[in-house]
Amino acid sequence: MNIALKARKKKRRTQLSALTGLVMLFFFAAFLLLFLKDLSLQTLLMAVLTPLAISLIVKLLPRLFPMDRMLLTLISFLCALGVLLQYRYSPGRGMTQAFNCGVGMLSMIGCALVVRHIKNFKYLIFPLILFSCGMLALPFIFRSANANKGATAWVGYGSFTMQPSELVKIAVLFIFAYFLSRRKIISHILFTGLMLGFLMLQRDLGTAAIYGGTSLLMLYAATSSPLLIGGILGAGVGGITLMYMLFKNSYFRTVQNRINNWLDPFATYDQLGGGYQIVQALIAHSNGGWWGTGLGLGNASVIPEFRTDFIFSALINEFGMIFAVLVLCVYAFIALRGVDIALRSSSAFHSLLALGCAAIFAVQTFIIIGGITKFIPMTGVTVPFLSYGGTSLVSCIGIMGILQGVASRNERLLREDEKLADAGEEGVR
Amino acid sequence: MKHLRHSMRIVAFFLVLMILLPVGYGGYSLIRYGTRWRTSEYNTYLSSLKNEVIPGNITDRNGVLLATTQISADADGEIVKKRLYAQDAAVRSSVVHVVGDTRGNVKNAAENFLAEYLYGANMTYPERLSQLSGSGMLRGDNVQLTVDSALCAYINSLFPQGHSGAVVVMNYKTGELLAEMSFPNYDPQFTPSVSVYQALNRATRWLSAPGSTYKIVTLTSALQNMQSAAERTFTCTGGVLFGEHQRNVMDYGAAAHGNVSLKNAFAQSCNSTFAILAAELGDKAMRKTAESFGIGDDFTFRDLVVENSAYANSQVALMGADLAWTGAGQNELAVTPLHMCMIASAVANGGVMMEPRLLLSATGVSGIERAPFEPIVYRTVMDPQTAATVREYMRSVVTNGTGRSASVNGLAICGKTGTAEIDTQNQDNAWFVGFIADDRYPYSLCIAVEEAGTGGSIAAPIAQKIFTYLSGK
Repeated sequence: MNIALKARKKKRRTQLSALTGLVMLFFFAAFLLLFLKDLSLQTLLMAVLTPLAISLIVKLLPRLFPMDRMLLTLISFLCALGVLLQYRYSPGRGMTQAFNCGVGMLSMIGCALVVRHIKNFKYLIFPLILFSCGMLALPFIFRSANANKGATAWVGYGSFTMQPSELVKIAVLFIFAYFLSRRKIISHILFTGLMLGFLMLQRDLGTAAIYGGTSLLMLYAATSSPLLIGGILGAGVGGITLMYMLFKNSYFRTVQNRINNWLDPFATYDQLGGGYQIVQALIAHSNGGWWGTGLGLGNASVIPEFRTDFIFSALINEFGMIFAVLVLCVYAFIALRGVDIALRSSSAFHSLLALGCAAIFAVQTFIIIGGITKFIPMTGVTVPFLSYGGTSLVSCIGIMGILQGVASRNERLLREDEKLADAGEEGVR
Repeated sequence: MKHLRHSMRIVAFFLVLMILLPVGYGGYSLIRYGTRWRTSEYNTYLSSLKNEVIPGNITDRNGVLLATTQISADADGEIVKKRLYAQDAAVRSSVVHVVGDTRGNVKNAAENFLAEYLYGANMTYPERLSQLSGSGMLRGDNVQLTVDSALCAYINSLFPQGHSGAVVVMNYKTGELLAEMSFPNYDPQFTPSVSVYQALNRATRWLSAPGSTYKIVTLTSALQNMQSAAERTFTCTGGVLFGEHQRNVMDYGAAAHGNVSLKNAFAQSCNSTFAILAAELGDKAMRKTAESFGIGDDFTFRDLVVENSAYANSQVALMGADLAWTGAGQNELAVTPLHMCMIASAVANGGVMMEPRLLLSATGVSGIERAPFEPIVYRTVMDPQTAATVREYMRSVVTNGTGRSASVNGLAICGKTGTAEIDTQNQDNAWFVGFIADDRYPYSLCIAVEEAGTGGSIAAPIAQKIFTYLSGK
C-alpha cells in the first residue's frame, strides 16, 4: 500500500519535472529568438538566467516547507511570460518586472508562512479591517500624478507610487473568509459595501467589480443559497440604476463613454476617451490571427497602455489566439487547483480563504480579458502575472502564497493523520 | 463542511467559465469580424507590411490587368515601387470603387480588403524562403476579381452624365458580381485629390429608400400571408388616407388606376394598392418578410463590406401612413443598391439568395490556388412557387407595365421600376431592378440614379442596354 503510494508520487514528480523542463525550454528559445534580433549580451544572459531561475524556484522553494509543486510551476511560467512580454518591448522594463517577480516570490513565502503557522486569526481580523480602511482612504490624502486618468486609485510619494487597493485585496480575503466561516453574513455584506463605497468614490470601478464579485462568490460557497445571491444581485442592479439616474451627468459620464466604446468602438474612434484603444486592440488581435505574428514581429505598442491593461492583446498579437487560449487554460487550471486545495482543507476558514484566492484571481481575469476582447465594457484592471507593475504583481503572487499556505497546512495535517494511522496499525499488530 | 464542498464545486464551474468565456468570444469574433478589423484603415501593421511586400496583380474575370506594381531602381539604386492601374482610362475609372487606390480613398475596396492575399499574409514559410532566395523580394498573391471590366466601361458610357448613383450586375446563380459601380467615379492614376463624395461606394454604402422596387418584398409578403391575394381586385382613386392625422399615400402624379387586379397593380406600380396591402398585412408580417430578405442582417460577406439595410429606425411597430408608405418602399426604409440586386436575384434564383462575391481566385507566385471560388448560399428567402409567381408579376412589369423600356426582343426580361421620393431633393431617385429569366444568361441588375426622374424613363432604358450587352445581341 505504502509502496504503491510512493510509486505514484514518484511518477507524478517525473511528470512535473518534465513540465518544468518544457517551461524552461520555452523561455530559453524565446529569449534566444529575441537575442537573434537585438544581439545584446543582456538578452543572451536572460536566455540562460530565466530558465535557471524557474528551475531554482521550483526545486528549492518546496524544500523550505511543503508546497503545491504543480501550482508553483505554473506560477513561475506565468511570471516569466510576463517578464518576456515586457522585455520584448523594452528590456529595461523587463528587468524591472523580473525584480518585481522576485519581490512577489518573497511575498508568496511570507503569505504562505503566515497561513501555515498562525492558528487563530481572531485577533488579527480587527487590525486587518483597520488596515483595509486606512489604505483605501490613502488616495484621498495623497493624490499622485496619475490621479487624472479616470481612476484615482494611486498614491505616490516622490518617485514611488503604489496602488493600495491591490494590497488590500490580500487583507480583504482574510476578512471575508473569517466572517463567512463564523457565519456572520450581515457583517460580510456590510464590510463588502464599505469597501465598494471607498472604491466607487475613487472611481476605480474595475477593482470594485473584483471585490464585489469575489465577495459574492465566497458568499455563495459559504451559504449555497441562490436566493440570497439573487437578492443581492437584484438589489445591486437596482442600486446602480438608481445611482445612474441621479448622477447621470457627473459620475456616470465616463461609464456612459465606456459603454458606447464597447457597443461600437469604431464609431467613437476619433473622440477623446473614445474607442481608439479598443479598436487598436482588436486590430492587434486580428493581425495576430490564430498563430500570431511571431515573437518580436508584432506591433501591439500602438495600443495605449499596452504594458498594463492591454498586455494580453500584445500576447495575442505575437503568439496568436490559440496560444492565448492555452495560456488562459493555465489560468483556469490554477483556479481549479485553488478550489481543489479549498476542498482538501479541513477547516471552514482555510477552505473559504483558498476559494477566495481562486475566485479573486478568476474574477480579475474575466474583467480584463472580457474588456480587451470586447466581451464586456472595458474597465482598467491588471492582468494577473502579466501586467507591468509592482503592486499588482506582488499582491497577485501573494494571493498564490495564501493558496500555497493552505496547501501546505493540508499536507501537514495529512502527515500527522498518517502518523497517527501508522501508529494505530502498529498498535493493532 | 459538506455543504461547502457542494457549493464550491459549482463555484469552480463558474470560475472556469469566467476565465475561458471572454477568450472564447475573442476567438469567435476573430472568425466573424477578423478580416474587417485587419483591413480597417486604422491598421498600422498593414501599412508597415506594405513597405516590405510587393503587392500582387489584380485582374478582372477575363484576365484584363486592373492593377499591377512596376518596380524600378532610382539613381541611388534604391528600389522604387509604383502601383499602376488598368491601361484604358475608361476601365480605370469604372472599376475604381471595386479595386480602390493606393491611398485608400475608397474604403474596403480590393486593395485594402483583399490585402490578406495581395500582401501574401497566407504564404507558407517554404514559399517565403524560396521567394527570398530567388529574387530577394516577397511578392503577394495575384488576385482575380469577378468583375467584367469591359462591361463596366460600357455601363460607364451609358450612365447619365452629372448624376450620382450606382449600378450592380450580378450572376444570380453564383453570386459573382460582374459590375459594382458607383457614380461619380474618378481616375485613380491621375486624380491628385479625391473628394469623399467621389470616393463613396454608393453600391455598397449608400443607404436610401428603394421606392417602388421594394414592392417586390411587399408582394412576397402578401403572397405568403394572404390567401387568395392574387384573385383580389383593388380600387385605386389615386391616393388613400391613413391614420388619425389623415396623411395620405398618393400615387405617382396622383394617377387613378381604377379597378385593378394585384398583378396589374404591381405592373402599374400602384401605390394605393400596396399601401392597403401593407396596412392589412400589419407591421409584424411586413417586418418578418423584410428580415427574410436579409433587411436588418449584420452582413459579414467574405469578399466585400456592405452596409446593413434597415426596415425602420426602431423596433417599435409602424402604424398608419408610416406602415402604408413602407409597403410602397418609402418611409424609413434604407437599402443599398447591392442589396436590392440581391433581392431581385433571390426571386430569379427560385427564392435562394446567393452571397455576393468579388474574389474569383487568388494565386501565389508559386502557382498555389489560395481561394478557389465556390458559390455560397446566403439564405433561402421563399419557396420556389412564390418565387415563380413574383417572377411572373415582374415579367408583366416589362411586358405591359412601367418597365416597358427595359424589354429586349427574344429575352424574358423581368423587372420592377422605382421612383423614390426624398424630401430634401428636387427630383426623385430613379431605380430599376431586374433580371433575365433565362438559364443561358443568369444575370440580375440594380440601377439607381439620384435626382433624375422616374425609374421607368431613366433607369429602365439603361437596363435594356445592359441586358442586350449581356446576352450578346
